[in-house]
Amino acid sequence: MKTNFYKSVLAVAFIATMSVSCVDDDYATPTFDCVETTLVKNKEVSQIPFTAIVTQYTQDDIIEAYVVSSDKEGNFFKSVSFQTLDGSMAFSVPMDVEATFATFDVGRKVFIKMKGLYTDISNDGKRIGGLFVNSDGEASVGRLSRAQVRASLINSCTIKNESELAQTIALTDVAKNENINKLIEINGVQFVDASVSDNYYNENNDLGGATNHFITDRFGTILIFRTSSFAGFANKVVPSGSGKIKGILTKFGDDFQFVARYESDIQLTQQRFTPYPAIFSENFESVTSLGNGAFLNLLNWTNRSMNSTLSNPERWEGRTFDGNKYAQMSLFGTPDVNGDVRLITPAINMNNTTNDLLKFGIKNNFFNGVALTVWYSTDYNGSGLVADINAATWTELTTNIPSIQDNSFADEFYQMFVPTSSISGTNVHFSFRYQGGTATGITTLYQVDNIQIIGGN
Amino acid sequence: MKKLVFSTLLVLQTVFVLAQSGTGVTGKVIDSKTNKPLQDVLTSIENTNFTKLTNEAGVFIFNDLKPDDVLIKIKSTGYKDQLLSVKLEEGKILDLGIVILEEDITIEQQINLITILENDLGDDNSGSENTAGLLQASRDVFQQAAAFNWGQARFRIRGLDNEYSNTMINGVSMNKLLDNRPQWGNWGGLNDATRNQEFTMGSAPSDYTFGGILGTQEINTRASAYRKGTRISYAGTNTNYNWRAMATHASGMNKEGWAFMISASRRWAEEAYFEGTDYAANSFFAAVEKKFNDKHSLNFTAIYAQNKRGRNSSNTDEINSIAGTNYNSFWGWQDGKKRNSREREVEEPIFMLTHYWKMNDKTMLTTNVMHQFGKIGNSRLDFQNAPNPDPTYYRNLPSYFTSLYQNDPAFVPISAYQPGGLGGLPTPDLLGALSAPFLTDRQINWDAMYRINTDLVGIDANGNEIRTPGRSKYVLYEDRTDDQLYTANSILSTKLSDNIVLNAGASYSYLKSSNFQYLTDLLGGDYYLDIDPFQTGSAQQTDINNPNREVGVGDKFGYNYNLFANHIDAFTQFKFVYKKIDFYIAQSFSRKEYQREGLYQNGIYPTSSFGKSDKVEFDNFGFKGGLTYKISGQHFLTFNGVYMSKAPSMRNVFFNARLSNEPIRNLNSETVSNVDGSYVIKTPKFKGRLTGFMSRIKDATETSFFFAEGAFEDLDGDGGDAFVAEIVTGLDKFNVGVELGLEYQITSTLKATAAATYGEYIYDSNPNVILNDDTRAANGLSTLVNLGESKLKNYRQPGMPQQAYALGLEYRDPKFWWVGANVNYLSDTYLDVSSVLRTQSFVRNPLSVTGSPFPEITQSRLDQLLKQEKFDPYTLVNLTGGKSWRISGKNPVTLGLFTTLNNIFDVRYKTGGFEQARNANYRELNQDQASGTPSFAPRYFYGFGRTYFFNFYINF
Repeated sequence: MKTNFYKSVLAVAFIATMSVSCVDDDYATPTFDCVETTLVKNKEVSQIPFTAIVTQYTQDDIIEAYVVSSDKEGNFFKSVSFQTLDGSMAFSVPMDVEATFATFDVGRKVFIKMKGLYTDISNDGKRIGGLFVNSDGEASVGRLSRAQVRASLINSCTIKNESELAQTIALTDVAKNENINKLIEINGVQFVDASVSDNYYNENNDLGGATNHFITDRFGTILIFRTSSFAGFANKVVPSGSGKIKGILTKFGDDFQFVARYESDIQLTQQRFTPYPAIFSENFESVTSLGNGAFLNLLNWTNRSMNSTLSNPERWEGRTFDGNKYAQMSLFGTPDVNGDVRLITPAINMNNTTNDLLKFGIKNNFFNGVALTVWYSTDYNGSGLVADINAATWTELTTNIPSIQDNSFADEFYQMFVPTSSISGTNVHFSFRYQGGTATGITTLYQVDNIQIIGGN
Repeated sequence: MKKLVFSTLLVLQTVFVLAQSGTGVTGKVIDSKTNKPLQDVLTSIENTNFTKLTNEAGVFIFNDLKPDDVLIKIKSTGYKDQLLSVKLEEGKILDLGIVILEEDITIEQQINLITILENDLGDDNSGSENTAGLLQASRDVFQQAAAFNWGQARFRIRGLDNEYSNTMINGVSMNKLLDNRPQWGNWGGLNDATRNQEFTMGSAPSDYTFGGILGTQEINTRASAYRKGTRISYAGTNTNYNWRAMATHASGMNKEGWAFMISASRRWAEEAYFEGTDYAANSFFAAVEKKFNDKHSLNFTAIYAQNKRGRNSSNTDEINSIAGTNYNSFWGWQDGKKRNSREREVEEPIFMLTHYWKMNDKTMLTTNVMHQFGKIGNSRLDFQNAPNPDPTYYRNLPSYFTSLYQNDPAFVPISAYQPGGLGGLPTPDLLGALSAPFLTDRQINWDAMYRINTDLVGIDANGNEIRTPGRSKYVLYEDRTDDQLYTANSILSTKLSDNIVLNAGASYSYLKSSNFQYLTDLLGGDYYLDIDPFQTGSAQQTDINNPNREVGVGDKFGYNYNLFANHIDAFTQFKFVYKKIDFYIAQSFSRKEYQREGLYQNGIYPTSSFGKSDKVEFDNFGFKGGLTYKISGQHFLTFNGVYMSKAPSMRNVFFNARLSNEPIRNLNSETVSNVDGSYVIKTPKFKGRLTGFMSRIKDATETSFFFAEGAFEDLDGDGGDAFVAEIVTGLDKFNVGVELGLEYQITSTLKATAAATYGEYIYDSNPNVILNDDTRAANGLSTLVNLGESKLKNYRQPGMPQQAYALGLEYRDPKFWWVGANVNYLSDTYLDVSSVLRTQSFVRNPLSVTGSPFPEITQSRLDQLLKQEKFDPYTLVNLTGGKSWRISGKNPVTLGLFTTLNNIFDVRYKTGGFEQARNANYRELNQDQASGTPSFAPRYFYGFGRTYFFNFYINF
């Protein structure tokens, strides 16, 4: 029994010795040392020409820009948005790469070797990428292949916190072409009533694989908020609160669309707000006389041609389309070759509001130049007489009335927002001034609707 | 003297007669090397029930025989059997003198064989499919060839799956209730401890069980049955592992009636034969026996075998041609090491208490209680809203780009829709193919996954990126099966008369099997969201009761359910032994009861996933019988026949067990029948066996999972693509063939062997195919889609050579060394065909409202596409050799070396493979094939090329 015991001890010891030569299956978490590139930019993004026509860039130039979009949660797909550190320029790079965020982390400075790449402007957004020719033979910027991405987009080791890149912009100012592809933070917003409690993506409300909801501010500004069916938060419920939302501005056709990168971009943690009331509102629905030559004649409004010699000159008309009434103006084909026609609101008391703004909807067609401007006066007597109008003091508002040149009416009125907080008085008139005619060559047709003064306080 | 020792009759020719009462025979058995007497050697009179064990002095004695010409068989584990022909005379005890037992070299081969067994192909937590392990204890020439020469080529004896065998330890069945297959890994690496085995082929009678139609294997772990001694061995190989150390000690029985046996081993490899396949296994064994008196003994057995190894992938020809035959897509570099994403870990210790009750000289009752528990885990990567991490994902391969088609009818010429057309316009993207990701990125990219699971926040002073954990998009998890098995059984063996033996047994098993996904690594992230992103709405929830759960390491997620099984089994068997004829009859009854309990309320199946399912019960019966006709003492004819029913395995009953309590409705038991007949010749110089067999399995059920494209009507614009479960019912199999084994002792040192089999193993019915598509539930549709019958009849059963031939020569030198060589030719291995592709839905145009077939179909092209692939035949040449040395003294020591060199010409051959069912309709398959570079070509498994194995051992 004793030898038995020793033998077993020996046997076990033998195995124990062998067990020391163990198979290593512990794996240290990888570290990622960043190897800095020697590349240096020699061109600013602003020096790169972008045109509607796709163009190959032939110079051996290098630009730099920072990653701001992310497909981490699936709301972007095979496209990365970049902007400059100062936020002045932004563009996108389409690429045939899934999980772009694994390479192009948000905040990383990336050098782009421009030689051989293509640029264009599509849906008003600047793009840098490869060449794509569709089945009709039309060329545009297309996705870079993986190999091209590796060759042309070089990561730097400079990482900026995204707070250094995000620009805080009021919702009323977001929907502008210059903002496309930029990382924007919007404060004081919430989803419109119809969106709340729906899912971010709803398959019954699918437009090209995504759902368009709307965010709004106290002034009633509306912006499309778009969420892909592939987004990680697609099936989460749209929150009812208000707060701030971060994301990238994109555009499709005439529609600006705001796209959040992550669910965490949506920080609606405050109480839902009620919109500011309208202290003045005109939607033209009370107009009864409609059509060509049916010139508007609303109570306390002025609708006057300032310089026509005709007895019944062309002025703002009441019109209707699809059940909606609005004001319309054009000097195309009229004898007034250099007309000046004003549609002036009744007097509005703007003494009791701050942070108010003028809001109106606009469409145009047959564009051949900007003919419409908006003015205000605090001393017009409202008589409707040319002399009284001329006697009053008029100040032009900065409106950014768009130049939409696609020769068709948009489906929806563009919402224009004009800050009016600097205007006060009990006798404020706003004037929609049309200037044009065959002499100036500008005969663009305008439709205006839903003129409101929203009173913030 | 030595020449005498190694003559075929290893008996000192000093036969004299003892003046003792009775008629019989006696002798003393000693070891050829040590010349020491051997205790507990089994001696038996052939074709009778007379058996005796040798005593401490190595002596056996029979004194109650009748005068006759008899064959005495002397048998002990680790030694070659001895067959002695003697003539008994009335009233005399014939003394054979000293019988010398010679070490059996095939024992060393058993240890080699094990390396083959551990490479299961199955992608799930199933048992082993390879049947070579069954045969390791066999002394039959054919069966040895099947195990040792053909096992590496996945040869299956009679074309049968392991679920038709029964592997037992001490009479307790070790076949898993989940799939009816044994899990060899449960005692892997314990070759010394499991070498006491008995094997019966086909439906031949076993003393322990009714068995199946493939055979039975009984491993005996009674501590006193091990030959006393210590053995230490160290092996090296380049197969599934690289190194093995093993130590074993058996005490023999001491005077107080105690015996024990311990064994331990370790096997390991950083990288075994295929790329990235690591291996680490530790095994421990202990058996303790206490003999209370001549009637009662208790034996306690504990087996702990823990095994973790990296798996290797099946590959298409395209992948192998780019990356090599040993290519494995499952691993990637991390931390300077190859990390395998598909590790298989088995750790299921067994504890067994056995009571031996020798009621009298004629009756023996063995009773066991057994408990087995532990886990089987198969690791995998899971991912959400992120690219598939598999480097061989079809979109990463060049073939994806060269097999693209424009299928928009606006662009497709009319001719493409005419018979023989392609139904689309080829639009190969050659530039894309040249820059296909697989050409540069061939392995799993762990770094990229860590990167994706973390957020970059800056760069530290050393230039390292500072990354913070985010929501993991990739995680590593295990599909776990944690079983708790309790079994109790009793086996009775009694000699009713001199000619009749009764074997009977009854057993009861209770299984609780916990199955779940188990998160093992967040890969840098800080949590994982437990949803199914492929579903929408509440169907995304894996557990409605805990929605949008954030899970971490050590959490269960995804699915979580228990399976319960009760299994009662009983059999009786009568064996009759007469001078000219032996025969037996046996019958069995078993009841299996299965139940599933869902622990998660799945969003796809909110009403059928949670709580306990109905119980599903199967009652089964079996009858068998057979006879041996002794033409003479050297020529025999044997016949066996069996007819039985067999319950479908639990895996097949709960076809969608991960998500649903729903069993397959109206499921039948299989009926299994087999007949075989053999002619056997046994002479001292020549042994031979010729067997013809025929087996039929009716109403088999098989389930599997795959991703199908175009299998369904295109209701939602996705082309009818879906991840589906396939349920095949009513599948019949018919196996017929012959086996031949010959052994000829040319001289006392030179032996020639030959083995051959010719089989035809076919499907013998057109089974019904049902697909289960989870996503249909979300659309309010029944998830089950009946595709109707699949035209599988007369297709060959896949995955094994149906023809195999071997010739061997073995030289055994008196100076304790030996060499052997064998040549093997294997052919008629077939690809596993997809049943979905052989249903009517394969030809039906999913765009057609009326379900009409694709207009471009021609019969000849259809036949061509559906023709079953037959693999090329191949020839394997193996060498074996060994030498042992004896250091004599008070405690003699034997040193030995055993080596094999398999497949010395490094022939690479396909052992199996399967059609990918992704192209589930004619147009997709036709387009894919016509491209010349199919994107969903069959995937194959390869056998080892040239491999070696050597083992040094010391016995003392």
